[in-house]
Formats: sequence, structure tokens, C-alpha cells
Amino acid sequence: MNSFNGIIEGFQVAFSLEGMLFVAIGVLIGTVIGIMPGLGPITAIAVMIPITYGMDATFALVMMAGVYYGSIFGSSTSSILLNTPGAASTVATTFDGYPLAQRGEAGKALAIAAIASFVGGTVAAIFLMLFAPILAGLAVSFGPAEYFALMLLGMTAISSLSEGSSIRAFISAVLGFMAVTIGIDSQTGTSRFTFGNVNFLEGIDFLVIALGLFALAEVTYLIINRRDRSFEKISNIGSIRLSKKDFKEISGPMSRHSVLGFIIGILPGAGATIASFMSYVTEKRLSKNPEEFGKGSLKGLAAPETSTNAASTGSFVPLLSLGIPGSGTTAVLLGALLVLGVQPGPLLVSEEPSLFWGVIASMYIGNIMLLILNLPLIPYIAKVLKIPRPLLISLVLTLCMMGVYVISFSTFDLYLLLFFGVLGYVMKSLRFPAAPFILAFVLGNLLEENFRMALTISNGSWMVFLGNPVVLALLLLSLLSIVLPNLRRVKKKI
Amino acid sequence: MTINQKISIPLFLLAVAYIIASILLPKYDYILIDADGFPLILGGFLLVLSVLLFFNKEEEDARVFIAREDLKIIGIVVALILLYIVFLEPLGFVISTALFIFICSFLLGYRNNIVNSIVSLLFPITFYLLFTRYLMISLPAGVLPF
Repeated sequence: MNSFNGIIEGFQVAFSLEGMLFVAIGVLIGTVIGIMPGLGPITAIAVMIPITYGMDATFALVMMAGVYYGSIFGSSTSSILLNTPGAASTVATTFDGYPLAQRGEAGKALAIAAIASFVGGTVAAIFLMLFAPILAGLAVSFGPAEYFALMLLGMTAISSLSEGSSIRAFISAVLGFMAVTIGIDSQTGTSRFTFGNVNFLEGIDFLVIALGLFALAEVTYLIINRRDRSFEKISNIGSIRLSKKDFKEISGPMSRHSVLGFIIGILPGAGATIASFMSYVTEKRLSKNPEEFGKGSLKGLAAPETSTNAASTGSFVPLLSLGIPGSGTTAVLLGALLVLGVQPGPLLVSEEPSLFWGVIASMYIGNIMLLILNLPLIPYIAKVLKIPRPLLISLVLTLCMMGVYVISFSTFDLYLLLFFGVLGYVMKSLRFPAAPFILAFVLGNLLEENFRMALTISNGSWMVFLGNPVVLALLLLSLLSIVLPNLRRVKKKI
Repeated sequence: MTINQKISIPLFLLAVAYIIASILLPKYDYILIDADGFPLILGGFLLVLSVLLFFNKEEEDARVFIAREDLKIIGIVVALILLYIVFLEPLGFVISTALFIFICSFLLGYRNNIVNSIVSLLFPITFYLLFTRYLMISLPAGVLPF
């Protein structure tokens, strides 16, 4: 009963005073950042990374996980109240959440969102507890070839599943990959593409990329919309009480979409955004009166909310058990873990049981705290929307620069940050998704290393990829993930 | 020329430059896949993708265009960031950050100078203490004695 002891240990970590404190800090800060229109989970996590320097890795991850699901929670609040989602994963929440708020039932909508998120997150945390160790057990025997194929699948999946043009997404991934090749090659010691600049020898720090491409690009959005005064409309959110009938109505979608969301969350590349849209569409299809959807349907609000939270918890399965993130957000989380000196992978559960189980156990507490935070306290938290935009912009900019400065204590990285900020803005306006870029950047070194290691072990024989059924299956899946969506597109044209 | 064609040209040039730089990397004997192996693959991919983008018709309405007024304010913020980077080490974290927050908020249109001053001072001081005293991470002290 090794894992049983691990679970006990995890709960001890999560229920310790320090553990609960860091979960509380994480979910609170996550909610506050997530509520700001335009600032999403990636920005929330990236901004918090510098704070974790020097912290105990377990508590740091517990806090970061809290920031992650807290920011999704917060983002749905602004989706409902303002119709401006902070993250793509809560866009579907606006469909029925905002109409409810316009009808004067904002309180009810917020309550449903909070309960649905709580259910989705908690159910998924139970599944996470069951499935993550199983997957880790399967992956223990994986060698470099399997890892290479898995990472490749993650990257092709995120590129072909991202919204909009998949050519753009692939270009974004290749650029991310190229950015990580800058610096000393770990296998031969050759310095690549440094052009004689010593600052490039250690490569570009991932925080520079995360804060530049996401946080700074999002701040630009805030600057352009700095005169937006929509938040002043929020006055009375109405009662947050739900009737028995309301509960009955949302219980079906909640149970369905906790499972669906979790499964989609595990899949490489899919993640919370796709989960929320799929759940919304499925629920509409199942509904007896689909015409209510989009006009303030309780089911239409509960389904994506449950699903988003279940998926974000589900995305921890590949992150913790394989060490391979499936989304941009978990890629940033992986980067944060690497900074702390933790290398997630199949051995994590046996080597660092208190971290592995501690994070999972903390999710139960985090979800309860979010429920408390969001039900009675939401009117007060929504007040952060009234922070004057100019002040908010200056503070976020300062946080980004401070975060980058403390990595290397050199101003060179700050210039790089500015460069990636501009690049992020240009990419955003030309509709190049940034998530494939960051995923490729975080996975790039590992992918290359495993690829070269596999070929070195096999003495240059490509059969190391083609002769192994697991690897072959994974490679075929990556190929399918590239071909299928494009095939559909071509078919549509005909 | 369409927007996709305009984007694809710099990408194509980047791919070519990247491939040339990869070829120029020093080689070692007895190494199966040398440092240039992966970059060559990546460069090749970008080359193909940029050509595909050239003939692609999706998202043709994407624009970097922003209103002139917004461009001006973004330019101002970028200039302020550059000034902040230059003065961070000589002036120290607290002073340069306080000045940055105050001036940036002011130029973005915040006119409540009292609140602005309080936030501009409290924010860097709190973080300075948090980093240097609690997290044991040093930040540039600059001209301040502590």
C-alpha cells in the first residue's frame, strides 16, 4: 500500500498550516488576477513565479496550482459580469452567464459558476488521484524514443487543435523551438546562435518568454482599452441564493461534464478551452429546449464551467505523471517546477510522494476555499475591477520586470523581455497563437535530447522509432493530429 | 500582396538565415547527431511552413494596425520601460520603480496624484522588503543606504 501512505502524506502536507496558507494565497491571488479582463491564467502563474524562488518546492507548487484554478474561477466572474473573459477557457461562460447578469440575476449566475466549478474541480481531483499514478506506472518503462514521440504528439496536437489557422500554430511552435536552440548545446558543448554574446550562452530563460509573450502582450490589450468603463455598470449583483429547482437543473450537466472535462483535459493539446466549448455544444444538443441556450440557460452556464475546471485539473495528469504538459498553461507550470529543481515524470510519485500527493490533496482544499471565497465574498472581490486601469497597467508591468530581473540580476534579460513583449503583441494581432510557442520552448530541449539519445542508443538506426509499437502508435497519432483537421478543412471546401 | 504573403517573406528569410547559421556550426567527429542536426530540421520546417503560408488564404483580415493615438501611448510606455531598465541599477529598485509607477500611471491618464504617490511608494517598498528580507533575494539598492 505504497500509494496509500503517499496519499496520507499528501493530505498531511495539504492540511498543514503552511499548506493551507499557501493554497489560500494562491487561490486568492489567482482569483484577483483572473478577474481582470484580459489577464489570463498564464499571466497569473508567470507573475507569481519569482515569488516562489527560494520557497519549498511542494508549497510553491501547491500555491501555483491554486493560482491556476483560482484564475480560471476569477476569469469566469468577469465573463459573467462584464462579458469580457480573462481567458479563452471561459469564453463559453459568457454565452449564458452574461445574459443572466443582464437580467439582474448576476448573483445567481455567479453562484452557479462557483458551484459548477467546485464540482468539476473536486470530481476531477478524485480522478486525478486515481489515474495519475496508473499513468506514471505505465510510463516508468518509457525510454528516450517513447518520450520523444510523446512530446511530439503534445506539440502537434496543441498546434492542430488551436483555434484558427493551423499553419500559423505550427509556425509559432517552430519559432518557439528555434528560440530554445539558442545557447550552449548540452550534448556537444557547441554554442549555438549566440553570435558571440555571452548573455545568450545559458539560453533564454523561459520566464522571459512567458512574461513577454503573454503578460506584456495582455497588458498592451489593457493599454488599448484603458478607457473601458464597463466595470462601473456593476452595481447590484442580486441574490446568490439558488432554489431546489435550480439545483436539480444543474446537477445533470455538472455530473456529465466533470467526467467529459477531465478526459479532455488529459488529452494532449486539448485543455480547458476545447473542453468548455465541447461541453456547451453537447449540453445544447442534449437539451429538450435548446432555444434557451444563449439567453441565460442555467444548464448552458453550468456545463462549460464544470468542464473548464475539470479539464484544468485533468491537465495535471500528464504534467505530474509524464512530465509533459499538454497546454500552454501547464507548460508554464512545468517551467516553474524546473526552476524549483523538480523534474516531473513517472518517478515523481515514488521519489517525491509528498509533493505529488500534496499538490493533488491541496486541490480539494483549494476548491473549498474558492467556493467560500466566491459565494459570499464575490461582491467584494469584484471590487478589484474598480482599480484604475492606468495604475493596474503600471503595477503589472513592474511585476513582470521585477520577475525577470531577479532570475539573472542582469538588465540584458529586461531588454529581451521587452523584445518578446513586442513579438507577443505582433503575434497576437496577426493571430499567431502563443501557446504552441511556449510549449515548444519548454519541451524543446527535452525533445531534442531524447531524440538524439534514442538514436545514439540504437547506433543511428531509425528502427528505434519505427520498430517499437508504442512509439510507432504515438508517431502515427501525431501524424493523424496534423492530417485530420486539415483533411476536414479541405473537405469543407469541396 | 496579401497579409499572409507579407508575413511569410520575413519568415522565409529567417528560415534561410537560421539554416545558414546551423550549417556554419562547428562539427565533431564520432557524434551521430551533432549540434546542427535539430536546427537543420527546424529550419527546414519553417521554410516549408512559410511557403505554405504564402499560398494560404486563412485569416487574411489579421492586422497589426492600431489607432495612431494608441500607438503613441504604447510608444510612450515602451520608452518608459527602456528608461526604467537603464536607471534600475544606478538609482536602485525602490526609487526607479516608484518613479516608473507614478509616471506611467500619470501618462496613461490617472490623475489622482495622492493615491498614485502612495501606491508608487508602497508597492516597491513592500516588494523590496519581501525579496531582500524574506526571500533573501537581493535587489539593487542603488543610492539608498539600505
